[in-house]
Amino acid sequence: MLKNLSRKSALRMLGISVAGVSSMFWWLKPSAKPKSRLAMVMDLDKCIGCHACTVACKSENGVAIGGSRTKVLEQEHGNYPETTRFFLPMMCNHCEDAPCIPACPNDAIFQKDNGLVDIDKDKCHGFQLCVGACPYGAIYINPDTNPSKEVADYPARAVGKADKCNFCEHRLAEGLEPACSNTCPTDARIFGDLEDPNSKVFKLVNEEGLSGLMPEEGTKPQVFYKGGMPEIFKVSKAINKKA
Amino acid sequence: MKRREFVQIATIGSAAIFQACENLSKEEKTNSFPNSGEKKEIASACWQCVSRCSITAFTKGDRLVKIEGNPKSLRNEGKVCAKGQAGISQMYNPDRLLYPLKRMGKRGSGKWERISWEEALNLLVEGGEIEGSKVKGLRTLREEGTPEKFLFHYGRMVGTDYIINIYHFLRAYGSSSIGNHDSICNRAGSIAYMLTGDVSPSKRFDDAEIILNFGRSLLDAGIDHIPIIRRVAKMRERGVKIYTFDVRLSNTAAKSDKWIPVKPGTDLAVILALSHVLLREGLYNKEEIEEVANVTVEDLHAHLARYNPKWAEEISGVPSTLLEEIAIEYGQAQAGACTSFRGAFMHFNGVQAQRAIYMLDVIAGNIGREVWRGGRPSWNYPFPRPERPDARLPIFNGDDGQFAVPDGSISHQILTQIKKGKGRPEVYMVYCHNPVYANGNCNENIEVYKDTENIPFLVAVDVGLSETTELADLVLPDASFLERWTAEGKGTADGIPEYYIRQPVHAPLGESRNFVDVACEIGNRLNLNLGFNSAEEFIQAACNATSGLKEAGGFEYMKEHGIWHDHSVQPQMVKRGKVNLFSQRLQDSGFSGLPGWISHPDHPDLAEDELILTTFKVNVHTHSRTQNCKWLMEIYHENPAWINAQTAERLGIEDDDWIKLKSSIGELVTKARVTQGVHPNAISISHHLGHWAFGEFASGKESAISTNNDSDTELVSWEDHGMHLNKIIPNYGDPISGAQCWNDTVVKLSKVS
Repeated sequence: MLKNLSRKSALRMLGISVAGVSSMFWWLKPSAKPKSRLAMVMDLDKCIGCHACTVACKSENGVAIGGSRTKVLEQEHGNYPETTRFFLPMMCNHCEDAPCIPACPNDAIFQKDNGLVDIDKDKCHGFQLCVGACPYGAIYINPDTNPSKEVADYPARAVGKADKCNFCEHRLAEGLEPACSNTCPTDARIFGDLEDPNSKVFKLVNEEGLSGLMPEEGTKPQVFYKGGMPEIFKVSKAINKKA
Repeated sequence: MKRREFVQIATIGSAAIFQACENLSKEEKTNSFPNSGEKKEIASACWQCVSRCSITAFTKGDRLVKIEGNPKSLRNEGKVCAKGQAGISQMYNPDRLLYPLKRMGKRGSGKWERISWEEALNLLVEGGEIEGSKVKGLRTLREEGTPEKFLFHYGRMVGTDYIINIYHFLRAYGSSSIGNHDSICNRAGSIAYMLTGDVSPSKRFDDAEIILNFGRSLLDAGIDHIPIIRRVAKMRERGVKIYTFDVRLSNTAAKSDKWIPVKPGTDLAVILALSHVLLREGLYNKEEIEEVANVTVEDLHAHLARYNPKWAEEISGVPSTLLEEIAIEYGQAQAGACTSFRGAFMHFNGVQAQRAIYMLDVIAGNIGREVWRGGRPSWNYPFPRPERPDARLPIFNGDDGQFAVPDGSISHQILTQIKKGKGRPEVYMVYCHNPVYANGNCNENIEVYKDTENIPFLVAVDVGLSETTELADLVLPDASFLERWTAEGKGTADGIPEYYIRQPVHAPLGESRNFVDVACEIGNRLNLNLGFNSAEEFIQAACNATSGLKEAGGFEYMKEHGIWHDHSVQPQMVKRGKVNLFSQRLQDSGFSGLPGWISHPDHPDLAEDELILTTFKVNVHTHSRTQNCKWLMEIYHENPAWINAQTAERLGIEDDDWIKLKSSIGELVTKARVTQGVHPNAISISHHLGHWAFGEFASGKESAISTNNDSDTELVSWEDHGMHLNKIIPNYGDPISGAQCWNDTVVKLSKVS
């Protein structure tokens, strides 16, 4: 599907017909497209646990050693010789009812009209309550106490502040897809707009009835998981805590 | 600049005394931040691993900030793996070599003098004094009529790097004393191919319905990593079945339809039994087999009669019923394909295992009358190549008569041969290689390299102070893959020739230089008349001389796009030459002429506490050169030993216990990872880790040349940097090809209390 994907043609992958420059920024300008809902589908049957996404994210966002905006967990299943292993890519789920938002005493975490949950670095005091509130372990506190003076280029490096995935919003603004899905060699990560009936994520989520991790938490996650083994959903909480 | 200004001494383990280039001084810890500045895209090529995917590098101001796949590539299709993206650290890691070094004190003492390139090349070419000992230079060896005493031993070198260094520089110089790393890599496989003939399949791999995978980590660490991952992903969408035979549940095995664990070193038995079933069930075409191969079906029947699935089950542990089922499914498929790698063939019986795979596919009809032949790039390098010189040290075949098919390429035995006095290199240059670490028996390797009698002048060309480079007399800082010119080419899955180049995305840091350019300069000093003065000049000429590319815009086109495809070349079906399933050469050497069972002498009778040590690679590291890449080390920095849960229980070992492994040459202590994902007779440990040099991210220790310029070093929370299993694996070879038997070493296992 992503054959010959050029940086510009990433738009096609999002299922958008380019009618003009303004539509390239629909996720930033709700007025141009009144309703959008950014989402990602993780195809667990395709994920091979290669960590290309992990490193793409580190590099794209300048994430310090010790922090991570996305990671791939793995776990072994079954008894020898009927053994297998599954991989579980994890990141911020951009939940519709994001528990991190009310957890922040300074209202630093907010949700945009397109569903993106983001952190206002100016408001964050590093209280870390959001870290504990997130059932997915998606938020970390930047451990780098010695970032360079160019920190403004990489909000992820703000000292002692909360950080997490924001779907690479700076890339979206350039008409690109997030760094992780951009490099996924098996196209296991699929990014798009759930409000766009032509998008692949719309089709996958609605036609296949996909759900997110830990529905019992009531967070209404907007990262959906396809395929894999039923055990994944049972154990994801446990292995996430371990990781 | 005056030398005195730069002469300083550093000692390994102490704080770095050297100050590197001004732009990388300690005051400016940079991490991976971009400086503000113009954003630029440069098309180039990766060189973290042998796949060499096409990349787009993004720079901001003077800083390389991101590596992505080049979307124009029909191979990696805009994708690049974890290793490739982490390649930024090959350039910026704090232990990067940035200027030439000359040894002070004894070899390996860690004391260095920083010298200029002029001094370095003067020493290399004219000889001189190192710590009171006189050494001969390259000029003297040539003048004395002994150019073969210049030994060039490389690890990684392809594309025009290979062509210029080997076909131009070393030929013009006059030495064929060239070592490589084939015998620790895939030599048993390549010798099997050489003995058997062209066994290319009749259909594209991608068109198979069913894949039998013998010990190849296709999705973990394939030699065409991202391209093959994408091809297999597309095959899986089509419903292609994959059965993976492996001692260990690799990620590839986990993503296959079935993982079939085999006892280490017994793939051959499994393959013979599969062939047996195909013959017995009549799942073959007699006429076709006899047209294709140099044997009759009757020969095959007679040969394979004894290798039935029950026999194979006894040896391999694979249930005979499963072998029957898989053989029949494979034989009935319209198109099948076997694939294999080290798991199948870097064994005592590896050559015959690989030849047996060819036999299986001839019987199954997958190696049929015709060969699918995709187009491959054919660069025109417009410089005449000197004749290949005969002069060569007699150190490349192991001991006399030790191996049936040595063919002058058993490089992991070079050091042993030097130690035995078979040949004495006056100048031994190690290029982009780390034999101390990468070969077996690390301690013996160190001992030989430290011996100034047998190796008077040891020169290393590297990007960091590796375990080998730290023993050198003279260290030349090479350009990283992001700072050099190379012309490359590979065929795509559809058989379209993809021509591509590696171009600098940044000027070489510090005083590092592409060694190809250095070779040109040495050539000039010695009046070798190479006809060109730099890698860039060579590649420019090639781009402007290669038919089709020239018309498309040549060098200027390549600098802009990085890639050019020759769509005028179409894949063809060509008639096959004879496949030598029977090998007279092997029969004459006392082996079975048809691939037959060979047992490792020590494997059938393992004691209670004995296991077979096998090795593997993970998906985020190359064998030994990516461990200064921080993002990769963060993901993978511990390599515990995989032990089957039943075996562990029998030996009273629990997960995370400390265990001791004892082989014939040494012992090591590591942690146990108790798992359901490994054969009960195996103990499996990955490569990559346990560096004791190379740099802070690799080993936890700053090297003597550290610039300590990455604030991320202070955030490393792990103390364990893994262990290196080659210390207890002897340097030995399979009796046919001499290839290192990576997966055969018997170890005694005990718990450390």
